[in-house]
Amino acid sequence: MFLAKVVGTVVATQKDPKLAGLKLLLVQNLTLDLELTKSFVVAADAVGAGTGEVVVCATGSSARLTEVTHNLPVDAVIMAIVDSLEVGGRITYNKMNDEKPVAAGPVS
Amino acid sequence: MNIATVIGSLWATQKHPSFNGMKFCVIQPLDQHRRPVGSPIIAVDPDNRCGRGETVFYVDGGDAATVKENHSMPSDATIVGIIDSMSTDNHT
Repeated sequence: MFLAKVVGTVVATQKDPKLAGLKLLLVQNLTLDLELTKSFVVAADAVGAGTGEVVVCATGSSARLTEVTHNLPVDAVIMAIVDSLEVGGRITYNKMNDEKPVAAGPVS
Repeated sequence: MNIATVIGSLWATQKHPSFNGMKFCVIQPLDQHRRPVGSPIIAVDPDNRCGRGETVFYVDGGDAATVKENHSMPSDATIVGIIDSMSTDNHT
């Protein structure tokens, strides 16, 4: 599996009929230091991921083994949303620290 | 199957339900002389046995999905064993 960041959504009206209703997201590969690389993949979403989240993607025929992608023509699926990542004893990512502060709304 | 060294862990509470109770490891694939090859990948450790620094072997591709009997999971890299020792012609 590889580490990636959800950077966008993909909308397609003309597609294989089996893909109707499937959520497709654009994910960009990450290094273990959470730096974006140049490669992108369109992946089906099996866990309810959103833009900006760090996720894990499975590729190949394994991508068809979720309920939402069963027997569909897909070769990449998001199968986990990362809470934290530790490499070499160092926490390189923690979702709690990554969340942007919510802007205060107008006082009504 | 390929060999790799475990270099880290990944925690995810929101994941496909087939991974419940399993751990994800960050692994660096190795060659026969235990030199790193390629980029690190995320692999699932179905029995929660691996720790950082251990040398493991894993299956990749579609076979990684059916490592556990009667249990398919959307994984393309699954750890199947921990290596105690390994020898090639001139090295141990």
